[in-house]
Amino acid sequence: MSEDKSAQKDTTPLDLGGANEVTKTWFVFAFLWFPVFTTFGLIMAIKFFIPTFLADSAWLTFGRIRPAHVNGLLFGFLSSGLIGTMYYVVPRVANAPLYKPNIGKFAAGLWNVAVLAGVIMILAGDTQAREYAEMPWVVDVAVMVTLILMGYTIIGTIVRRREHNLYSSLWFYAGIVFWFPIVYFIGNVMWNPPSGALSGLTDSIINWFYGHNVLGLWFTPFGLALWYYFIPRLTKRALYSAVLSVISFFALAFFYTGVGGHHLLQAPIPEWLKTIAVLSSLLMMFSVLTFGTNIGMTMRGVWHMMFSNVPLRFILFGFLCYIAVSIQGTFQAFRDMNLYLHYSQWPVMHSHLSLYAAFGVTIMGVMFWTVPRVTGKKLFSKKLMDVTWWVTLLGFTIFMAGMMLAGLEANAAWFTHMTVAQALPFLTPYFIVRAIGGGIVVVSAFLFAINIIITFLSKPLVPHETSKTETGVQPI
Amino acid sequence: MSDLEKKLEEELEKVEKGIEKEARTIRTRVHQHNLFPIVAAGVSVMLLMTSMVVVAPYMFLLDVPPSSIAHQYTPLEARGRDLYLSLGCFYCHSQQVRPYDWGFGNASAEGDYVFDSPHALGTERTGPDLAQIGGMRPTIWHILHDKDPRSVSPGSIMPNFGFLSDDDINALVAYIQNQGQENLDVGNSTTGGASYHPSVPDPYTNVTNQFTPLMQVVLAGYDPVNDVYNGSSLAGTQWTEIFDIGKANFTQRCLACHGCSGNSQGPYARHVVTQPANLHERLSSFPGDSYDIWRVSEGVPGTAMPAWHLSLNDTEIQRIIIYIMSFVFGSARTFPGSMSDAEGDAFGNRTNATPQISGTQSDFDQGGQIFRLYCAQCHGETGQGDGPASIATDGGYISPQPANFTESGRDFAENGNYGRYLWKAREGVETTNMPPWKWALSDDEIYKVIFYVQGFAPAENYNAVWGPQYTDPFARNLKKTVTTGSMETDLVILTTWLAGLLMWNLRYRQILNLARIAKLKTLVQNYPQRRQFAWTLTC
Repeated sequence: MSEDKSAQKDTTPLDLGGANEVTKTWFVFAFLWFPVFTTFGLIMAIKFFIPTFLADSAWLTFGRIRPAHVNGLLFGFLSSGLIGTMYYVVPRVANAPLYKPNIGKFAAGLWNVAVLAGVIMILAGDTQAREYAEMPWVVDVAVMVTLILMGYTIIGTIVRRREHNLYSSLWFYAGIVFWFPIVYFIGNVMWNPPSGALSGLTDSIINWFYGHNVLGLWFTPFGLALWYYFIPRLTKRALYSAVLSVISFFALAFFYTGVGGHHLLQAPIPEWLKTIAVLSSLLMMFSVLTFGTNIGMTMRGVWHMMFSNVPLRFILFGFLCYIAVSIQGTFQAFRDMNLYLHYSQWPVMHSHLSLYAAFGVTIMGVMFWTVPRVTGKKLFSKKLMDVTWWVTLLGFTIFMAGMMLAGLEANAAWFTHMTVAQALPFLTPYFIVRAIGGGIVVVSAFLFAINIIITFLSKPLVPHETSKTETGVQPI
Repeated sequence: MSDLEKKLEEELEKVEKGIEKEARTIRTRVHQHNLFPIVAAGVSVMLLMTSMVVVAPYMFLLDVPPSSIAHQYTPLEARGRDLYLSLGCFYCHSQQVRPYDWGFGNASAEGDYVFDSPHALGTERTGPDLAQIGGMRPTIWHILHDKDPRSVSPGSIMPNFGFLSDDDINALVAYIQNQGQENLDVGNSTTGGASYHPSVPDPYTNVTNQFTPLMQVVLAGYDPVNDVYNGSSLAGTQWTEIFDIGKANFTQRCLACHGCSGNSQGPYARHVVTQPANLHERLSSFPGDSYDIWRVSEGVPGTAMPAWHLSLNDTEIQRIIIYIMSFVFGSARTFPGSMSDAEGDAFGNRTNATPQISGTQSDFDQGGQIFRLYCAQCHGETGQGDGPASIATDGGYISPQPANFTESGRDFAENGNYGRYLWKAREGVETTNMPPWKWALSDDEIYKVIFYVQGFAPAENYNAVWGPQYTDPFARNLKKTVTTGSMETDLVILTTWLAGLLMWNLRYRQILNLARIAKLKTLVQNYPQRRQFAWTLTC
């Protein structure tokens, strides 16, 4: 593949200071969690048309599998993958060895032990029962510690950088390590253990401030930073505009923070708060469109590369899904639209489009590309990677179609004053389609994990020292 | 290359060099930021927005007074709420009634949630909203429903919670039964706990249904498994009369809202603000004759249920109540099926009945609409007698099993008597839940729905007997050709699509290489890449 011949003659070797080891540690957790927790999702999907399926114990009842699936994938798979990517990108773009790599490795272990403990506690019924913030207080503390340790290593690396310019990705990474601990602390009401909740509507407002900002101030900036690095890197083209990336940075910091209220547009929260949420959701487009334009213009003339370069294909697919889901999200946040689409399977489709299709698929691509580079080993099978792509695409299409149609059908039925029970029989075919699509997605997750695991276990292609340093590539 | 083009090239090169220089300075300027101001600005704008959407609402909502339906949870209810949260019920059941929602109660207000910590507003309605569910159903219904939802609510996809202890279920039900209502005494749930029902007022307190003893005699003589009646023939005859008059009255007065299978899904049910009672559910936890007679006689305040004593006398009301008791677990068929068949045949021979429609596509479609609206809940969408209310389906209760038209279509056809269809549709089937549809449908509608039902018959029977009775080619050819079946079309489309996908997958590299070469050619010829810097500047 073309990017294999990437050595550039005029750059000095880059000392990464053990960053690869840290990235590897995070990635191990990412590819282990991915198939496990998508399987949880498949179990849920089956429960929608065979409600007695695995319904005989409290551990496997729908209401516990669901938060386990969500938390496992969000904090286990996606976060590990994105943080691992951050440890890959930051030293390279800052042209500096990673500051305190052992802390980074420790953070990986602590984080994933916390996630595993959290998921087991949720399955056992010890949950804070606030969507996306279910993990018990003890786990929250561990997560906060990890976030602070992680921020320490990242900021430490950035301030010791040898590259004077701060590339766009670094802006976002520097932002995340300050934003998310704040969001996590407020959103989980950590000053109020053990319930981790306030009462009444205030609690719902804080819950959704957190619920949306897990996406807005955690996954999205991670994703943006990642796309800002990997797309120019894989296509070997300069990022189109630094100015646009600055706009996307500040628009994200300001507008994304305020959109949480659009989850509560029909709840009796203050009207002015709804207005802020709707306007923020609209103005969020500043961030999305400047970012989209930037990447789109960077890709101009080389879109064909996504057909020959499979990791790039995953990454660009994720990018396109991110743009699509953002536009969808803005429209869904308008009051009338929200009124129609709320409560059905449509929002479930929306969240899968963002978390699975945009960030999950991107991480698959990134890992296919970076794992050989951080391990110094050859990817087990490029053929299997290609097959994984087609399975992913097929699964994604069926999966999304099932949920989207189930949602629209239910919404249409409710709008003609049918009750929930009356409308339910119409949805069964779509639930079955969704489970089939979801099953294919699980298959792709397993194919992905198998490919990466065998790569990890195989013999190194090059001596270990060269994997520690790498010819520096400045994407700008 | 002409001179002019050369000149242009040179000019362009100059311009681009200039732009590039400028672009470089701009990029440098942007990147000369230190880390600190970037982070400080990023965090500041984030905190500014946070103060608007978290701190401000927090202060705004500090002193919300509890609304009339908010209440402190008793220890039992609090335990139930803990279970509700830890079992994740709120992932499928919302607890916020929106102003435009239908049939869930009053729109939620901010004071409703004062005692909830954490909140349980929810984001999905895979199941119904539970904000004000309390008292809408008997306590025993909830207990049965939580243990095995499909035992009382066919078609439900809620998981079974049979693994919970009885104490846990009682706690959960205590929480649910007090959701959104004035604090109610749910009573002793082990005995049925129907005490949330208002007590029956004076004139009705001790009323009994005069037909109840007869019902008990008849039920004792009826074997529902084999559908045979062995009891007293006098009681059987009396029962046939009382039951069928009750059924006729039910069809005239009640069916439009409560539905022909009593499942509250009649055609008007969607147009009344409060859902009609689901008679199967209500009667499964029968509060007693006096209660029913009172409710039917005086109506239910705040709903569309009229005070029927204004237009029906006591005997009529009691007969209707006797009839609807059959929605609990089926009816006692004292009038055998062979006799109703014979009646239908006799009617057919007497009147020489034939379809009074020509059998066009639109007749068939209208028949289908009526079938789905009225008939499908018992006979099933595919006419196999397995609708959601049918005893053939889990949680169904209409017994004896409704006719399976794919089979009985043959019976009807072998007999060849259109009159039997017409008789049974118009007059109903004695001592079963098949209503006399002449009270709800016009003759024209009955003809159309019969036409649709005949479509379920096997092709050879249809073609031999029913098709020739119609004049329109649509009806005559209804079962003759199968090529227009949508299933086949779908398969063809799907296969084509898959084949196309496969072809593309096999060939795409070649195709793309061609495209890529063409693209590169254009790029090289017409589109100097460095022109992009001009775009940078305009941004």
